[in-house]
Amino acid sequence: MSQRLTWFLAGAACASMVWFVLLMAINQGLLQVFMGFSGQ
Amino acid sequence: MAMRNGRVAQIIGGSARTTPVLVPCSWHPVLTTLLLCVILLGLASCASTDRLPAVPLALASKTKPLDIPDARFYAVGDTDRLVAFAEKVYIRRSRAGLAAKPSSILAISGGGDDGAFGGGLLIGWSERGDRPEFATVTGISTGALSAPFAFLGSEYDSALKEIYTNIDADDVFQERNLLAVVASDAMTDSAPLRAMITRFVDDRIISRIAEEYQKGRLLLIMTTNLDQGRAVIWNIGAIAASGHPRARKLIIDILLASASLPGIFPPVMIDITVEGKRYQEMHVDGGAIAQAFLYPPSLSFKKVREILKLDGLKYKKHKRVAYIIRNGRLYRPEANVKRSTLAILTQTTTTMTAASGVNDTYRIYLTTKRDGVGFNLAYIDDDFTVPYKGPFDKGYMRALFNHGFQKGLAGYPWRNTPPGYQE
Repeated sequence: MSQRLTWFLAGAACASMVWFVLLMAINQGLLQVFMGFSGQ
Repeated sequence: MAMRNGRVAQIIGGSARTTPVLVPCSWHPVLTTLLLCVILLGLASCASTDRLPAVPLALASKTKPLDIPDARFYAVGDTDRLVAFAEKVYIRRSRAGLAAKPSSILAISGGGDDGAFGGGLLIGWSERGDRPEFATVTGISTGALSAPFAFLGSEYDSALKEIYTNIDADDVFQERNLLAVVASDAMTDSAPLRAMITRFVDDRIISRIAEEYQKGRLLLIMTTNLDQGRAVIWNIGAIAASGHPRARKLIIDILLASASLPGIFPPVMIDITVEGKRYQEMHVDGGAIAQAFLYPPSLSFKKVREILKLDGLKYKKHKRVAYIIRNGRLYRPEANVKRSTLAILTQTTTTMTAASGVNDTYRIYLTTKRDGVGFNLAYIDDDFTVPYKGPFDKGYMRALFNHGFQKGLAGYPWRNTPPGYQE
């Protein structure tokens, strides 16, 4: 069972990392989009 | 607790029989903590998004911020008030002995960090020695930040220089957490920009603006009332001259609102009381509606002359010249646009803003032609080749400031028609 828990936590950590990177990319992209309002 | 310990012991022992019951109980603390973190993060982001109701459109004409007369006008739909106000300004200019003298109007456009171009141009123009004392200065977005200094003349050139050569992104905004885009009102916090405006717009500047207002000189700033989708022209001189204890804060709010790019910076909420009930207006960057403005096209000088005549006042004919500084290029530089949603959106917003800037020059040109005002346009031309490195990059801004400065010093070759226009 402890192995399953470890795998679950490792999986959750990986998924969180993927979400984090994805969110960062979307944030940077949106920042660029909104900066377009200033003409840049 | 003993029961729980017992269950933990069983998990460690790897008992298959107890698994269905024990797994949820053991993971409960982990999941609860994660859930709490998400909720707290969400709450932290949402904490400042509450607001009072927007002013109903039917009551909009009754609003009077801080009870100050002529504090603001709507760019569309306030014609009678604007004409009456123009008459008051003319009378003030007559008293100050300025009515028959040539008058210059300066419009400084938005453009974010490209505002360094206008800052440099104005200071170069000062150094050259033939920069006029503008009767009216208008500003939007970054133009709103430089307008008070341009209005007060070359004694404030050092402040203008500091704003565009000595700041970087950290002096303008702080990035918020990753959930801000869905759980907050902007992706960044503009507290550093507010602090910078507060530092520059001190009591001395307020009293100087008030003095000049009494002579009939105007400092006008545009914001967008996002609740109503209408442009608001704020008469900073009237607010400064009111002596109201909250006048300075309102002026800082207006300058910040005018420069608050939607999505990037939070909107500025302005408290309004109408018929005893409290409301809030949401104001963002004036650039949402226009990149630059001179005065509303609904205000015709012919109409003002007629009103003056009706009131037994004689209009003294004088030369009027408008200078428009477009803090940006007329057309967006070409790009090999990636086939991705965000890249397409980015290039589209940039293209729309550049096109909006060109459209504004046509609207201004039409107004100046009607009223017999000289038209002069400056903009960032293709001879500026330093690549853009990201928002508020000090190196880029300094290079652009120097470019504008050199042009101003040499005598800017003002363009007398809008781009692409043939007489």
